[in-house]
Amino acid sequence: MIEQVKNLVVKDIRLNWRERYALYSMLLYVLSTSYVAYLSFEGIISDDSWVALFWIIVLFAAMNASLQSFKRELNQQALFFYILAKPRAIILSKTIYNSALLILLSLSSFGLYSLFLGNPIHAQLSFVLCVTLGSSALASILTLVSAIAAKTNNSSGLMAVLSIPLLFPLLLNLIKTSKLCLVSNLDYFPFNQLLFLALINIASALLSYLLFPYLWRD
Amino acid sequence: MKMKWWKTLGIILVLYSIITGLLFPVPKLDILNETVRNLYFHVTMWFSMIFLMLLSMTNSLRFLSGFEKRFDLKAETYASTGLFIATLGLTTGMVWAQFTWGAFWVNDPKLNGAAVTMLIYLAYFILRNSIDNEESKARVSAVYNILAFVMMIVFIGILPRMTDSLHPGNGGNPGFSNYDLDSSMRMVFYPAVIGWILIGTWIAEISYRIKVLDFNKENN
Repeated sequence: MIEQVKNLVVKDIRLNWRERYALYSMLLYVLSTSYVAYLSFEGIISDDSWVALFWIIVLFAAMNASLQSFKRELNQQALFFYILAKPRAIILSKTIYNSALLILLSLSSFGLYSLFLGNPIHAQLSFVLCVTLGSSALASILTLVSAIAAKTNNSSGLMAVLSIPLLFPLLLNLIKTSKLCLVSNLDYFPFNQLLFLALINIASALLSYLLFPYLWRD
Repeated sequence: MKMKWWKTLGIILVLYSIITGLLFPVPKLDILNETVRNLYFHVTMWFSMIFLMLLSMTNSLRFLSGFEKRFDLKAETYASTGLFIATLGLTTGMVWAQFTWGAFWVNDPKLNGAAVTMLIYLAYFILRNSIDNEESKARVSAVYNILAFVMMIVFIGILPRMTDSLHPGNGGNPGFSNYDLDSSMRMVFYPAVIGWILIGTWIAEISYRIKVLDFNKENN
């Protein structure tokens, strides 16, 4: 099982590295939205709006990134994977891969975003931790939802409808944590909030692990 | 027509809660005054809704363990009835909020929870309608239903406790449990909760039976 997960993650990295344009398009998305934000706020932005806009950019980047995650597995090569791998190994590998991708993406968007709009955060380390945990939680919920959406006729349209209400508690918590990081000291550590994020991570990974086999079988 | 005992009990309890809820004395609380009576209607609706959503979720679980079509139909029915009761709960709450807080909608964790719950279940019905294959529709929507229920519990059960709410009983606002120690309101509130849960289940059962009849008509 663990061996299979490892192989599948390596396969995903290889395949997506071969088709790098998808990765570049996500980075370009982050770059252009940050620049649009810079232009529309003319460089002066209140701290609260900074936080809200940052998470909206990350949310849509996450949605774009995970939308395509099952395009091979559930459509074109479904039978091939069905014979080859256990469904639980597939969902675990996808969750791990998407989390890693999204952590990378949101940290780089944090960098780009701060470059254009400045960085008002005080507790940097806690904020980076919050971004990391938050984006892996986003990724693990979105991975399962994209598997659900891939089963429908209109997957890209449904993705937003299905996932945004589910991500609401997570996003509210992320915005709240970021605001705490905004006003606090350098060494501030929002333990409860980060614990909540970690719990959401575990819960959504567990749900994906338990529920994905039912989506898989057709 | 044969009447099951719990249906009769439901009618009696709801009638009791309407009559006593409107006529019995209530404690005079700051801000709330007589609007505290909304507790018997608004809060009980939400309890009923959560109970129906729980039934819907358990039916989805039962569907996934045996792939029997009727459990999927039941899950859908309970969810739609729950959504209906949630609409009633939202409406009663909004009217109450207009007179107590001065606005139909305010930014409050419990209201956000209510809004998200409605959105999640509306998404559930959109998901159901966007899959043509009956088998795969049942399976996919069962998976989403379970995911939705867990997230809803996180949202309305855990998150409001991490922040203050404007609601009575939260964040230093007067609520019936803090003041009303002689329990006169409990005498109406708890029967009302049970009554509305029973009525909700009854509505769901009737709607399920109609759906079964429709299904049989289409397939014969």
